[in-house]
Amino acid sequence: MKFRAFLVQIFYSFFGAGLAFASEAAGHGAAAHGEAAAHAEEGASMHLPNVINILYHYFPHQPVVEFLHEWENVFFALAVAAFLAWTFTLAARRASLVPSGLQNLYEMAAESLDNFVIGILGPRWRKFTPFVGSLFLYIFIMNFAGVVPFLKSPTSSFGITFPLGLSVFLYVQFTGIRELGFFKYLDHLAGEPRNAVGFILIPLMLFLHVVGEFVKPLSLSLRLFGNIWGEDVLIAVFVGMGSQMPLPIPIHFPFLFLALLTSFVQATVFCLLTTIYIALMLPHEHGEEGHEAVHSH
Amino acid sequence: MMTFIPMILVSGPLAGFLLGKWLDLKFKTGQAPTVALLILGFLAGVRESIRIIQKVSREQK
Repeated sequence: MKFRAFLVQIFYSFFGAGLAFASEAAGHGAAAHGEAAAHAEEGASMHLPNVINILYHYFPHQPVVEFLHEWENVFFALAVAAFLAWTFTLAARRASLVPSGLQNLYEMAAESLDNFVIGILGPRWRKFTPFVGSLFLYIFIMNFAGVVPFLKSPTSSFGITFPLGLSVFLYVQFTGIRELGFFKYLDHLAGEPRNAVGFILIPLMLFLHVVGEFVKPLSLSLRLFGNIWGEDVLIAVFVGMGSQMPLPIPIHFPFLFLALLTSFVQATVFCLLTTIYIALMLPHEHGEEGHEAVHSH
Repeated sequence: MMTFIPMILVSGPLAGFLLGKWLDLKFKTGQAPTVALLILGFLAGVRESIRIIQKVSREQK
């Protein structure tokens, strides 16, 4: 419990300053002092209004609206998953030999993602395409939701990006145990000692590897969260500035294109790193063979 | 694409610090494990960055 309170304290104090700065820049006259939690509350206004915010504004005491407001990010994350599942079903239902429309789009995406995974891991490890591909599409659409009116990027919340990073971490460990076997997995964590120096260094290498494994979900989730949160705040700040001009001008417009670019780049980087983490866990000789096989074509 | 390098370098000490702090709260070990894991976290971050850069540059060749 203490540890959780400590984490929340770090989180609020770290982002409090940034939120206060952004609020002042928007001309909302946000208080730069006071409790760190108050800054976090203001953070909610640093995003463009979404459908749940608007409902909460008009019906603040409705239990359903209160519940949705509390679980806003989870709701949008589930909505994106449902949207993807629905469009996938639509694309697959009317499948034809010569694809068109939605089927064409998804086939193109699937082929590109397959080439992406094969390019790094080799054709033997094509079985990782569904995991990496699903992650890419899910993260990309979640990032993209931030520029759709009345929606919100769930990835602008650390509560959504950390589970994504955690799922990658667990999948990589599971892959390591499955592909290497339990004892080789431990050997990998111990730094593959083959001589006396290697055996002496086992405790150090073990700690280094274990901490290194914990770095993966943290770096993945922090980077995605930071970029998307920053992008959403930037757009909200410029919308605020534009609306306060004598003649309201949509000065945030160019940043929508930037948001489209960062949405794609961040989803790509997340998947690139996931694939590299899987590659680093796979048996080395196989990964290299597969890789060379691809490049020889 | 290489924007992930600073994040890994930051995440290393952070992961080490959080692990150390958790150990301290759980087993009342004092500050020593936190400092040790902080340093190990930094080393792990540097090591991870090097491994990823090596892997990416091998892919680009």
